[in-house]
Amino acid sequence: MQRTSIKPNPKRFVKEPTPPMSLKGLMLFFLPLAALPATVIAFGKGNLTGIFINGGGYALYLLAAILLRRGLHQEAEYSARRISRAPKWSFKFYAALLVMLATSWIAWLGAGHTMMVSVVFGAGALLGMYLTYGFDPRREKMIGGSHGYSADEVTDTITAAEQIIGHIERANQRINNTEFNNRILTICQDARDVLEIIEQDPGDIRRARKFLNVYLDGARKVSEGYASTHERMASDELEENFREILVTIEKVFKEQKQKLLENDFFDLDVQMEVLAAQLKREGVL
Amino acid sequence: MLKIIKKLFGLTLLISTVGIATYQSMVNIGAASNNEIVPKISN
Repeated sequence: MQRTSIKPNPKRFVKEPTPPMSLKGLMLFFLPLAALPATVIAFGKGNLTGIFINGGGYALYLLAAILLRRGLHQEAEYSARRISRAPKWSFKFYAALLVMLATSWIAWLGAGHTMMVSVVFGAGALLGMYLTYGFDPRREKMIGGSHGYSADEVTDTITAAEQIIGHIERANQRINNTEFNNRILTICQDARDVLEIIEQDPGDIRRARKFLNVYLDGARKVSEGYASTHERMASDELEENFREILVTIEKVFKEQKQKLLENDFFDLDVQMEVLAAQLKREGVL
Repeated sequence: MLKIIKKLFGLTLLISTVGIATYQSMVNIGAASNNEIVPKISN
């Protein structure tokens, strides 16, 4: 019997507040380390030109290493996203140029090679940087069926929604109520699922825009409002109101997700109107 | 495979150019007399 294997969808990229430490690109900090004792020797000998040449060269390498690591981090984010714009700054390319400049500089003025040989040293270093690390991605990444939306528009919408979810999660940390905490976590997860649906089919942005712009933000205002109010005063009525809103938000978000999956346009708006009315009653919208 | 060869070649090129340039600069400044920098590496 022939077996077919289904490849699962890759997990949606969620930007971490503090990215994990990567070892990639660290080599460039250590590779020109010989310039450091050269600077120390120049200091010892009172050789100002030597200090300037070797110290300046090492500083250029350090700057290149920092830019390279930034470029690699940027590239990792770009690869992890399904939809992404091309990075704004070409950090890897700038790093390669700096390495070329620093190598030519040290080969010419420090090692005493002729200008032509130094240029060859620099060109070799530039080629080495390109072959080892590559240059920055230049094309925007978009999956099929964009429905006329550019990667910029989709990325902006998703990034804004992710920021709002982040605010809700931070407000949740200030709330000392397990039931509310769990409800808010479920709401955030549903919101992320909606974002995933949008990433898979950017055409859904048109339908989900109201949800992302108004109701997700409404959920943020409610959570933040409750988080700051209940710290000052605890009231049963406040808790009951908050519980009711959370239940409605949870229900509407789940339905929103389902309707987006089913491409059911009409019901989506009706459900949203129900939530809007409740949020208005509570003075959130 | 080609990708690995490309990376290895790039790495070798990078290590040799940057490493040699900085190492020679260190040797050069070590060999230079006080307040002076020699134009070529002394043998």
